[in-house]
Amino acid sequence: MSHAAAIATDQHHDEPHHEEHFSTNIPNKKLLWWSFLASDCMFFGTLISTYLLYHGKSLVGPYPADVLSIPVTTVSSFVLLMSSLLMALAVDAIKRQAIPEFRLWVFLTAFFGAIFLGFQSYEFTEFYHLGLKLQTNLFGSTFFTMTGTHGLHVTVGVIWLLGWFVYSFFGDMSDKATDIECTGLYWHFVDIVWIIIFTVIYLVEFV
Amino acid sequence: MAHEHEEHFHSHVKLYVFMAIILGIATGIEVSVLMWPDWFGWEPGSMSGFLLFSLYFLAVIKFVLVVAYFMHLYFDNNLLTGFFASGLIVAFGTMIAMIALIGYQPSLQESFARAKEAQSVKKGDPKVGMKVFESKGCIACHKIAFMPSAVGAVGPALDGLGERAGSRVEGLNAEAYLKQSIENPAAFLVESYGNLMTPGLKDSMSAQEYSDLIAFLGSLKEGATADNYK
Repeated sequence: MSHAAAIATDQHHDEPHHEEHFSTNIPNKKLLWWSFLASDCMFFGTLISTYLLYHGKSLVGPYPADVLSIPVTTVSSFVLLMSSLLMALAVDAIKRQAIPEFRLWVFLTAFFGAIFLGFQSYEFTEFYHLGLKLQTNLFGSTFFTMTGTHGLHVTVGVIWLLGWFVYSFFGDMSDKATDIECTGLYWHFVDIVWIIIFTVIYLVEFV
Repeated sequence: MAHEHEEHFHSHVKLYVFMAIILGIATGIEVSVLMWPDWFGWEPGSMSGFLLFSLYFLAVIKFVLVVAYFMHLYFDNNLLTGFFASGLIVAFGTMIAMIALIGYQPSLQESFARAKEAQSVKKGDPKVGMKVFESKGCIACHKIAFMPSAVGAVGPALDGLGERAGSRVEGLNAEAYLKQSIENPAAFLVESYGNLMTPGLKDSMSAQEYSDLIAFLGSLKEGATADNYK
């Protein structure tokens, strides 16, 4: 039996347990998101590597230790970390079809994400005033490219979450558990990328 | 699939809250070991190896907890773990390879230092250049009439060098000719002299010293006196 035929069989739920070899029993959307996240790992891997490769190679300041602030970033990292808890609670709620509870958690997740973005805007503005721009030195270009790309991911996530919040008032949520779970996977991924960035770029700088 | 979830679904709220508390504590430890090492009885900067290890270790713990519990990989199909792990391994491997390989470019640090120095090099000063001429040992082989210490005869005498440097080699101005004579002396040899220039002379001095030396040589005029360089 060809792959295509096996997939077709699986989709039509004819004999769902017949071809074990070809049936993953994983929702296709979830499979799609995990493979996307695997590729996004490599994307952030290159950005973080590039930052590390050029670390300490800037010819002019400001240098990382001049501008990075541990207290500010600790608060924003903590907010993002806790937004992951809220996201997990939102996924849990939608699986129980507890819609009002889901709304609360999903809104708070987006809100915490927005707070994180607020901190990042503050940080970027502060760095700009301290003389660090994208084109100032190797630190500036690698730092802004990496954290900016992460910030863009968070922004997409916040919009996506708010989309679900609005949708929950008008649309049918009964078959959306897998979709919400995929949004959750994306959101948690953004959080784990920040766990790495926070340690490697911020904390280790001050050891 | 949705119906299956409803039937077999177990709520994990308590587990999630517990994990979040652990994640919060881990972050707290990370920041406090860094900000207040004296709490732990450490001299600042004395435990950097252990500190680095702890920070990376805690980051890995946080990473794994979020992936395993919040992202559900611990409970989910192993295929998904395989998907994610393959991406992660390639990313991490690339990172290690890039960082390790760049270490095999020995000239990199050096060239950055050079470029940094070159940026700060000021216009050469003949008076300072005269001291470089003396301290780098040029005097041992080159004679200059007004310098009592410059008595060597192995190389050509340099009186009036600034006046003829620009016309020695077709296409080279005075500065370029002087630099060539130091960096690649064999390219043009003054008649009846062999190439006995010390190799690597330029590398023995800073970019600023080199610039001063070139300025000094370019300023040499026939009949100049020591007073011109005071």
